[in-house]
Amino acid sequence: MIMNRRHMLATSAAALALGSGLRPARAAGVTADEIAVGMHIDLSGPSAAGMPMLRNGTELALNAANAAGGIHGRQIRLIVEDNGSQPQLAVRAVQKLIRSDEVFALLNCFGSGTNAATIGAATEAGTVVFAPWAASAVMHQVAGNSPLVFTTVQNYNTTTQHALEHVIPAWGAQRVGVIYMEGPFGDLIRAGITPALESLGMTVAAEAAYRPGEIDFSSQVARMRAADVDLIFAGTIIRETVGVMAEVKKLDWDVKVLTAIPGRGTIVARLGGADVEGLYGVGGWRLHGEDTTDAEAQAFIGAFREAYGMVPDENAANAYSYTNWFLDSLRAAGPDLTSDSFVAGAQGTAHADFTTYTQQSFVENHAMPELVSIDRIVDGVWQQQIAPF
Amino acid sequence: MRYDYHTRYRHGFALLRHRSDWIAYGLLALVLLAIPLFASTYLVGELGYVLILCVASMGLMVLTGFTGQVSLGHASFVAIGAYAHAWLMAQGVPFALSMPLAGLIAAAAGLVVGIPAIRVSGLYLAMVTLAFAIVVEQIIGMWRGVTGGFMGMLVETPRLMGYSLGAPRVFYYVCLFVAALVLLALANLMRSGIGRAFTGVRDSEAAAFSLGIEVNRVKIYAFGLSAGITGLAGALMAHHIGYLTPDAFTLLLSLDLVLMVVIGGIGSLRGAILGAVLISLLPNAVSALKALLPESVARQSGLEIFVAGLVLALFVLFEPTGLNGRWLKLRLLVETFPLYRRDTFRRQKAYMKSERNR
Repeated sequence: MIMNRRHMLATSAAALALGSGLRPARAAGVTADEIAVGMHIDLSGPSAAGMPMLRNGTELALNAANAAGGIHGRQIRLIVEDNGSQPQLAVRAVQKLIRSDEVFALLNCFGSGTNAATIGAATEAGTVVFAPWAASAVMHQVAGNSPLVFTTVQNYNTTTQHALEHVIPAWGAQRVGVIYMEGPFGDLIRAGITPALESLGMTVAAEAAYRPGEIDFSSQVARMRAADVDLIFAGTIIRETVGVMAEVKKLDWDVKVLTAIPGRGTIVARLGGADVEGLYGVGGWRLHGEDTTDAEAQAFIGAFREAYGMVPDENAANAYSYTNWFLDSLRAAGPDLTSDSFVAGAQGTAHADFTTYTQQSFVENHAMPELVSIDRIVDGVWQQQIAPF
Repeated sequence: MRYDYHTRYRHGFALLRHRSDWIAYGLLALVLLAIPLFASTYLVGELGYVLILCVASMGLMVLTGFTGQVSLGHASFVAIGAYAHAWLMAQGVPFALSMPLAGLIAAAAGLVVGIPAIRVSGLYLAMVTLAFAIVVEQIIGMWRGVTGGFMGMLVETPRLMGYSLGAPRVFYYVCLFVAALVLLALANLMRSGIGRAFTGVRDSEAAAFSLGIEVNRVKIYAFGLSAGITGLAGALMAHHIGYLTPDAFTLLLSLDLVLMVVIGGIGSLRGAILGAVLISLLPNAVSALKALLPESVARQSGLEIFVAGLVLALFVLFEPTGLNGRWLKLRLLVETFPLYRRDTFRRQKAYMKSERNR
């Protein structure tokens, strides 16, 4: 009896699973006059403060396209959900977006863990994932190199490696020290440093880790000092970058400090003040202040301020840039929009605007080439020292 | 009004004592079984997650609600269950065997935490469990060979006798089965000797000890059992997330679990379930609420936290006994109408002063 019941349950379950797989192929979220696009960002978690920029930048680009008559006559509807920086919440948000709102694509979704947990389900459902704000290589790996995933965020490992291979000989650095954060970010940074030093026939002179949330870097910098390094590579984000520089300044130590892409932000220059003067950074995109001379950037800053009453930061600019690339891909996909036509469209679309160093296009669905510049904070502003290479 | 007239001893400790109970729970079971047949895939997926949280919440209820031990680190048992299950499945252990093994591994971890925990109580216990959670999070991050480190690991699709259980409608039944099993097991356990010992330890350790209950041993059992059940929830959670990273099991999850237990009503399984349902559906409620609010308010960042905080504050202020307490009052009101006396639920048990802050 029990075996029977269990057997029945199993067969009916299998029938259900089969039934759901036999739905006819179609482009979800696309109607004659609308394209639904989903976005999940951290509205309630630790990164919530930065999200308005991301969201507004995305919206600004979409609104502009809608005002101009949409893409092939279709208006774009953006649905924003909360992921709280928690994978469980992200899974629910994406399930809602895919199953209930039936979106065509996920755009500018935020977070590494959150994207990793959801990208597989999204591509399995035939949803395009464009520009996840997460470690790009990991995204492709998790999604099994699905053609539906398009990444635009620079790989921190390859860009770090590229920058170091150029800078160490150029600066004649002999002893390189590394300060890195424990966690996924630090793993990526070190995955770039190790091959770079290996190719130059060097090894790391000193290594010091810190935990997320640490504010005192005296011991890490002291270890660098003890090893007498002449270049500190700081795999740090915002506050930590300032912390490391403050410690270096306190010791009155004349050493080059180079921070990775996340540390080279306007906010670091603003927050650090005199402490971060002279800091070098690896730049992955062009920065624009309010006094920029770039016409396209000026237009963006003006439109952003008019729409939201605030000055956009580089996250807003990048979200805007990625969204425009997404829109161009939709245009290239033609009026008959399916995920297949979108993939073909995106792969054939090149992108260049006021944020990019050069014209980029998708190579194996990742934005290439990943050019980096070396910038330095001079008089409180990032200034380019070595042109993009 | 209804009066019990027992003709057999068995009547006194039946789980469902009245015909009306049988009808009500039978209907509930039927509805839960039938939901996937007509609800949307999205709704079924959401309910599956709610059921997972119900299991985790019941796990914590064993410890906090029944035995009176706080834990701010239960997310780590969810994590241990999830990673153990994912790892075992990756080693080729079949799903049906891997689930209980994951529960056992989490239970073993619970026993380990229980050993220091019997030496401290109250705030200090909260700190010990919190520290344990931080240690576990770090270990998961560092132990790359097993857990994939901070980069995470993929969870295989569950399979049973050759059939895939990965589809949301099928996985819902898996969750429902586990939740029902845990509920029945705990409901029965609480009527047994060890269950009574749990409650005894909670109400007065001194009295329990003087009655011959080995307080320390009971506390360790409670830790192990609670961790094991939470680990089962973790194994289910692994499939829900599909890709495990340490940031799925942070302090936020621990706090959510504590809230479920407190809001639901300390000391009742029904409370654990009601609390899990409320807390897990709160984000959906806020999301739905946003659609009704004017654009300028709905766009404010932090609305989610505000609404969640407001609901919790209101509960603590106006219904300290939780959802379960409210339910009991409502039920009595209906049953005894119009003779309901408000004082029925006034607390009569006076604790010894020395016991109150343990």
